[in-house]
Amino acid sequence: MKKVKVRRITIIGDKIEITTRMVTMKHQSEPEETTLKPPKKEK
Amino acid sequence: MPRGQPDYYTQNVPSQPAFGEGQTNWMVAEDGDIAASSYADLAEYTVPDGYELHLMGGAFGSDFPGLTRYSVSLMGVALGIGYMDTFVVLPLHPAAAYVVPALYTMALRVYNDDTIVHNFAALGVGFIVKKGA
Repeated sequence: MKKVKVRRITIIGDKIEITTRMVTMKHQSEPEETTLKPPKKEK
Repeated sequence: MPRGQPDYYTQNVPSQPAFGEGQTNWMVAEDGDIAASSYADLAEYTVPDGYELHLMGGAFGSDFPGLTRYSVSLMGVALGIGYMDTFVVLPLHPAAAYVVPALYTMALRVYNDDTIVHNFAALGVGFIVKKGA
C-alpha cells in the first residue's frame, strides 16, 4: 500500500477549507472489502 | 388564444438551492495522482454523530483518456462500479439523494486502470441534516 498526497476542498455551511491529506492507494491485486461493517459508536 | 408564459422552455432553468431548518450545504472535492493499477478513496467524509448526509450529486474526472472505473464507497465497500472516460457525473438526483447515516464514512473511489500514473478528481455535493430537526 502506498500513500499519496491529495488536495482537498471542503465547504460546509459558510466554512471553506482548503487542505491536503495523505490517502492510501491499494493495488488492484489486493482484494476489495465486500462486507459492510457498521461504525463503532463513540462512547 | 395563448397567454402568459409558455409551458416549456428552451433551456434549463436552474433552481435556487434552498435548505430547511437543520440542513447545511455540504461539498467535498479532492484530487491527486493515483498510481497505475491502483485505487483510492477520495473525498472521504465521516458523518458526525446526530447528523446524516444526503449526497445529491457528484462527479469524477481524470486525465486518463480511456475507460476506467469509479464508485461510491461506504465504510470501504464499493457500492456499484461504473465506467468513465475522463469525466462522469454521478447518476444521483436531489429528489433521490444517497443518504449516509451518522458515523458512517463515505468516499468517492477512483480506479486507475492504466499502466501509468494519472491525476484523478472527485467531487461530492449535498447537505448534512441534523437528525430530528
